[in-house]
Amino acid sequence: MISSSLAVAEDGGLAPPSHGADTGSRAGEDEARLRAMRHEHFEFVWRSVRRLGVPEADADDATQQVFIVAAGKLRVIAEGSERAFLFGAALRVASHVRRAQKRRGEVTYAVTEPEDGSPSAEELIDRRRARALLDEVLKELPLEVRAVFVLFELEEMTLSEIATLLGIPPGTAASRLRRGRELFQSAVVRLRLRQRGHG
Amino acid sequence: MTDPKRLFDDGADDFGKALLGAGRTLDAEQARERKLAMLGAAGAAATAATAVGTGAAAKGALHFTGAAALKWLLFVGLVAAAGGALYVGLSSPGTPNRPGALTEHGDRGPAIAAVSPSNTVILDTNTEQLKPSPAPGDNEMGGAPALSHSEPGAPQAKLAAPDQPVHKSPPADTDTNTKPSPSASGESLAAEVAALQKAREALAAGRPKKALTELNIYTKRFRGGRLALEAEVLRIEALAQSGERKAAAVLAESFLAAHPSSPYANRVRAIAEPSKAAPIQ
Repeated sequence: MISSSLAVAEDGGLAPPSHGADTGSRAGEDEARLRAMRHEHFEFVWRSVRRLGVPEADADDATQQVFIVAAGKLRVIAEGSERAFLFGAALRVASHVRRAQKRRGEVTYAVTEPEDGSPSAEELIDRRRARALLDEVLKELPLEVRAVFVLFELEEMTLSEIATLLGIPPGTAASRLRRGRELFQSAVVRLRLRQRGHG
Repeated sequence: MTDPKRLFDDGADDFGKALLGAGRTLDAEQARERKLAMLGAAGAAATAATAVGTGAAAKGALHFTGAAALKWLLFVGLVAAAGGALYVGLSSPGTPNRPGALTEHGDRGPAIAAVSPSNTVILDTNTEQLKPSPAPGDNEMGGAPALSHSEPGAPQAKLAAPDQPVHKSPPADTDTNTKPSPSASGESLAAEVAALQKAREALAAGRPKKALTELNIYTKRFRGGRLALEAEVLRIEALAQSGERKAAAVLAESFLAAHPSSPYANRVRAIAEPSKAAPIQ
């Protein structure tokens, strides 16, 4: 996919006009690859940024940022490693969003209102409430632990797949998962106590 | 290595299961919805523009798809620009015009710059083009005045105006839809992303002055850049973080007046009018 000729135009284009056809072809390959990446991984990226701490309202932006990063690095993303690259980018984007939120001192609301009055509004409220509470709980996990936890518990990947995706030893993935589960369980207990206190 | 059972299946109590279950299902549903809304919409709008070839038709499609789709249209354009900047840059009157963006169906659609006048502004953010859109209710990300004060003291952009004034509806002639966008002829998107990333990283590291310096470098190097809107938001944040809250508020107000429905609006509103910012989940 990444032909050697692709490297020529890395700076945006100083190739002689006689190479126009080649350039068009390369651009076409890039576009096709990016389009395929978006189609195949859009949902994974969107879920990932959400689960890594990006608020729902910012998830579209964050997803877009991830693919913009990919667009800029397309020629160094090895064939078959797109998902890993995108998750790495999602981690960085999510980290940036979280830091920016902290700096701005944005208020996090544990419960959000339903967006519309659809027939399943009641159920939607419950699930949205639960999802908002999950955000609260996941905040307790350091990002590298959180990444493994959400990939295993929510994305339902195997530890082996996670280790490959993150480029870490399987043992490290397992220990981060253990740590994530401990933190999750204790945060859930604290949250439940707090909820009872408010109830 | 044998994987442990998942907490949702074994280990979590009902409360924990409810949280994990919501995380699994709601995220998956929303991700599907967003994909449909953003990728599907981009394809639909591009297809509409291709089929009819009029700004009005495309505008109708854009009204239908909303701001999120517009943002994604921008991305589609950026992707096309990233891959095709060289080609577009080399295009000349004698060179067959190449469509700028691909639809989601794999067809070559018209350049995004031609979808509607206001969309042109999204992609081609030189000051010549950042004029208020005459079409009320049109895309608010694009049809807005330039924040010319974003770089105090900097000379105004003197980029050549495009052949087709963007504040007028493009003619039905589809040939005009394939004209290369002036902004696409500059440096690569990768270079632009990298330049802006320096500012973003400086800001994230709590170094707003450095971020402002990087933003000035970005603005000078990529005048009319494709990420100009994001640069503007970063500038507002950097000013606020550096203690220049008054300047930040002025820029933020201008930004909000120009882009009230921008996906960045809430972020900027938090700086301009902290009490009015919508709660962030």
